[in-house]
Amino acid sequence: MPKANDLALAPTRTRLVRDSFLDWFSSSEPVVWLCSACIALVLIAIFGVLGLIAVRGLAYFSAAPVHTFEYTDHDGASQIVFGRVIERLDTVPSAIRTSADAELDTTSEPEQSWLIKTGNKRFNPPDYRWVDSRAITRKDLDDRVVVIERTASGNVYGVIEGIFQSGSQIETNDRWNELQIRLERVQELRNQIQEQVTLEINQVNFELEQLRLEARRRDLNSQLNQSDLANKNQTLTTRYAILQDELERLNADLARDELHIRIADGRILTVPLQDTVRAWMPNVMSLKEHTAHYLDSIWSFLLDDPRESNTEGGVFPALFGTVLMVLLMSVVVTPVGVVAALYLREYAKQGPFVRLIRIAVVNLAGVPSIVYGVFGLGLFVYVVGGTLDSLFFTQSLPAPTFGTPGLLWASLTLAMLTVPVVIVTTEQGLDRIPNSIREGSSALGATKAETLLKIVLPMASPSILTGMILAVARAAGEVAPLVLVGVVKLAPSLPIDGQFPYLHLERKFMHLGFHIYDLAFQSPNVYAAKPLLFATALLLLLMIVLLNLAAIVMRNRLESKYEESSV
Amino acid sequence: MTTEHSPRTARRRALVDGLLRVTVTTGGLSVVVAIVVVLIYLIWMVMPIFLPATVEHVRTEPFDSRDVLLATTDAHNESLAAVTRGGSVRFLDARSLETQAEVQIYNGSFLSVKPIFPRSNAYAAKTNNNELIFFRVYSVIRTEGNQRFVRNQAELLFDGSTIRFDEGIFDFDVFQDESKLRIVVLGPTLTSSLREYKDVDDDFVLSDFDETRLSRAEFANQVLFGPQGRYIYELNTNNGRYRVIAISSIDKIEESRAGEFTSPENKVVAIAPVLGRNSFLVSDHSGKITQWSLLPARTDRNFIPIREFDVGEVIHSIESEKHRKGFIALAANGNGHLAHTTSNSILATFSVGELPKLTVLSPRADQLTAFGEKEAHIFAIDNEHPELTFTTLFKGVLYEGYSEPTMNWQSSSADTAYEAKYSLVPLLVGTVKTAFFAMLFGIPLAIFGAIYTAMFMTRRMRRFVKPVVEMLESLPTVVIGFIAGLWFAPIVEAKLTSILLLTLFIPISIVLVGFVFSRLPEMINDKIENWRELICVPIVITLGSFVLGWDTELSQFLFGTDIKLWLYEIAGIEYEQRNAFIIGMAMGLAIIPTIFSIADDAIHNVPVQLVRASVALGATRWQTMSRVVLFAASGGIFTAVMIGLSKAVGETMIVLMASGNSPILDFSPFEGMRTLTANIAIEMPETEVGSTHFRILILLALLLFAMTFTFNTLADNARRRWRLRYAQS
Repeated sequence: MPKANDLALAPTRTRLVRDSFLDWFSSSEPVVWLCSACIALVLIAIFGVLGLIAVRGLAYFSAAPVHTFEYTDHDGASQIVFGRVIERLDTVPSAIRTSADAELDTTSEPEQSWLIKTGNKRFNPPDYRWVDSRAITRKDLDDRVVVIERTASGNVYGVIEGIFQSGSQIETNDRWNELQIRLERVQELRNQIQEQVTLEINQVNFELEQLRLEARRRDLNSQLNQSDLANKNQTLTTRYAILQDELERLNADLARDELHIRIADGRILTVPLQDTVRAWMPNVMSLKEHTAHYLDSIWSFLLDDPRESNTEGGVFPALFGTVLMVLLMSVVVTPVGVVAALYLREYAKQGPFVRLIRIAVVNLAGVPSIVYGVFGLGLFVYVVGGTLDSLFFTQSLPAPTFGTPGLLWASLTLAMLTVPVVIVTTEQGLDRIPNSIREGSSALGATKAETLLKIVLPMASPSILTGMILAVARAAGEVAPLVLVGVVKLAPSLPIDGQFPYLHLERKFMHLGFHIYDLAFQSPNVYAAKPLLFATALLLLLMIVLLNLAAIVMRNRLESKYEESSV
Repeated sequence: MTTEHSPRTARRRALVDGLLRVTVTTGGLSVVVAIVVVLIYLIWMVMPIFLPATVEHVRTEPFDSRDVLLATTDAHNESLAAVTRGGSVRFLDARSLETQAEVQIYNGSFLSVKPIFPRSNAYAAKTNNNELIFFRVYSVIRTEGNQRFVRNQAELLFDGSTIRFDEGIFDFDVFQDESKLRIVVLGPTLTSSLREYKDVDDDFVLSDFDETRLSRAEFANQVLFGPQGRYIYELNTNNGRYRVIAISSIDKIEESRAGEFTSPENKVVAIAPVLGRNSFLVSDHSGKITQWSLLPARTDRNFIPIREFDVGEVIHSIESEKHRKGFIALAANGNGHLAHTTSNSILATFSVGELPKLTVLSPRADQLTAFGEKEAHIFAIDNEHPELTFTTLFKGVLYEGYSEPTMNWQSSSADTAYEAKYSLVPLLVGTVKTAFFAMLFGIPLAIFGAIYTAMFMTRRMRRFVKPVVEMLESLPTVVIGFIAGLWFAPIVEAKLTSILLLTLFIPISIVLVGFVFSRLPEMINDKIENWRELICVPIVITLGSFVLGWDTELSQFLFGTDIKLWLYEIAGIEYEQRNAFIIGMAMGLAIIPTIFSIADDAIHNVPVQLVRASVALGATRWQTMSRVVLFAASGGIFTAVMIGLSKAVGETMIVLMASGNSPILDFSPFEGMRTLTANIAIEMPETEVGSTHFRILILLALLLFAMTFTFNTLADNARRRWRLRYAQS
């Protein structure tokens, strides 16, 4: 009996599970679960992307340990290098597969290829090597390894062999300390050159160029008297020669010290100290030193000029360009947007015309940014800029002044792009102010202008600010139109400097977003650029998130302020 | 209070009031004007490419052209240089045809003159001594103040070198590029010869050369070099027979079979090469001009007819443009037809009066001078953009060197004689493909995600999730593009099998997990019911990392080999690292916040009464959701989709960075593409202002404007209607 019972029960139970699954499946539940999976996927994607940028971006600043690698290369030769692994791939392309493949222990270790940054560019090329990970026979840490950051040719990895002053070796017990002292001296001399001599040379150059243009202007106006110009020219040229001598003297002083570095395979690399930025010993740093190095790296990332076709150094010009462009843009876009919103909401007669404009404004916000770029290039640069050139800058023609992409046109183009944002948010703010307030103000005898300027606009100021910050946040991340209207890979000078008129609106500038695009797709060695790319992306992201947060915080604060006062 | 009544204050207040009114009104209206200007500017810049060409008779001057062998004008149409039989170059004012100067460059007479291909303003002349001599004409422009002085000059090339052919010269042609000078001479007897001078310089004497003897085609009465001097064409201009000789190097020459332009019943009247000499225009007695294009790859036939121009009358002379692929065809009665080869169109018809002895088309093809017996007629031609027609923009065109019609976008090349291909179809297809894959990934995730967030999520969770997703909207697309192109694309390439499988595994496993949870005791189930999304997150991550880790094994198990190889072997699908699949995911991620935010608002704002009524009538939660709420929110969801579509079409940086940017006509998810936006970003900075290419790029911008405007207007309308419907609630 029990046996029969068991038999009868078993199929029933399976049927039960199946039936209940089918029941459940035909209910709404699976779809709800799938919906929840969708939002889960979106969240994973968002946090994945943000996390990736944060982790890889922050890792860029740390002083990673430098290993000693010994491996067999593709041709079967044994190589020994200092370096660090910056990329791992699960495949081994045949180009790097070691010829001693058969001898490798293929079972225990998975097939992987590592990208090792070995530095010492041009001395021991290539500075980035793909290596079959199974062919690596040794990987350990050498405490003596120093990393030296150079102004050109990237980092040096090696062991200090000796420090030389004017060709003779310095006897010292603490080479590391000695190096630090001399590095500081180099830094000081470099500052001196930068701050005293180069600036003045630039100034003299600038004045010479002004003289040339003045001479040409007089030529064009058929003015023949140019003797005063010649005198001035003479003075400037003499001054220039003196400065050049001074510069040469300082440079010679700078070139006094040399460092001999022994790289992993025993060869000696000579590093003139004038080419170095800083040095550290990654394998023996204390936590404190690590922290100091980390902060120093962030600092120089933010404040240094890019080097090695943008793959090293800092992003200062790009950061500066982005901020300046966005500031200029907001100076233009805020009044224009507010005036337009005031017109639409307070002055224009509400009717089909205004409705049409509103639709156009909303639509304009959806026009692809590249279209604005085309428009900016065509109308601003070629038409307006070309006209300005032919009216006011004839002396420098045919070289265009404003008739070429530049800071001003980029700001104006982005202002056009973001003006709908300001209009819409300002209008929303104006809408929220009850009419009774306007009417109350009028009833007390105020004119419309007084009502607007003293009551309505202050009350709408949170919305205006929000609109402005949203516009700025959008503009800071926008790259496509800038490709056409003024951004360059490497600008020779900042748009603001010490020469009259101090703010050079016609100059081309660098931009963080474009920096990312350029590094990712035009750089000669994408792997060299990748760590810096993540750091730059993180910086841009932080900037935009902060701006958005600022918008939210400011709106909340101002809103609560006015809510209290209006209650 | 007293100040209130002061008339001065009152005046001031009125003034301020009026001033603000005027400022705001003008300011507001000027913003409106600015909006209109954008559109007008774009249209205004595109207009010229649709304007018809015109040819206008400017003037007629008496002129004796009997001793002129060849003439040419300078780029500004200021002066005209005529090479005379007497061995001189005569410079004339291009308008009045008055002689300004004459330079005797050879003491003897010229029998014929030909330009050195493909140089401009350099010529070779056959003298009465069976010699070839080379010269160039040029002008020196000097500006003094605001005045321009133009001095025309003619001088011998190669330090006056002459090359003698003792057997005589029946016809000849000269080719020169950076490294060499090639001369082919058709002898009067059965041989012809090809000479090559290496490392020639305009200022040095021609000395050492290599020579090859060729057996000449009996029928030939003309010889021409082909593109890059790699071909020799032997032609008979009376019967249309030809022979092509391919020159690999001076000692490796391949003579191919002879062929014939046109059919025997239609007698050939005129033959002229098109710029670049990849093709010939051949007119015959049927009143048609046929363009024959060289097919380098094929051996059975050298030229194939690619286009026909039905002018309706027999053409006796064809003058090709010097910098474009256009030409002017002249009939016996003096009728002229202005035409362009690529666009296969006859652009204008005009009359010269009589069939001219000699025609000169200016370098910019904006002036035609037709020399008759005693007088010369000057015509101004306005024909800036002949390349573009509906066919060249949107339909297949049989280009030079192709054997079948294709739709290509190849706007420029290093070779000036290159036939620009302006088909918009690959770009439009690229845009559509991008938008399609973006929507494929974006819509389900965003809409279903919004449904869940609006209807099923706890209020606390929703307050967190919504701003987080919306924050993604401000993530710069250049960052998404960089992550997609540089980080994600290589991963997908390496783990394609598992990524594809995950799209299947995730839904299945989520459904199973849901079932398992439904079997749990009700007490637990009730508690977790509202935290489904949090349960999903670890499941998806675990499943993802598990499947990704076993990629090679999965691929081996399912396909027996690498999936990319398998795809190629089975379906011939090639895998490009940056492709539509990647773009779909990256762009999907970029449009999700927009769609999600609007859809969530729409669903969340469905009036509570509707939901309550539905539930009160006995509908389950899901029935309420699918039949009532979604229906009520459909307007908002439609808006969301339209805005998303508009964003996908207009996005530039992601496609620029992660699509490979090759303008190919292809729908495969594993191949790249080039979109309208990316194309503008790539080509606009390098194009010349006002050129056809420039205008066509603006046309692309206008197209984008129109597309997004349509989507946005549709979205806006839907939104308005949806608002109106629930305005009362």
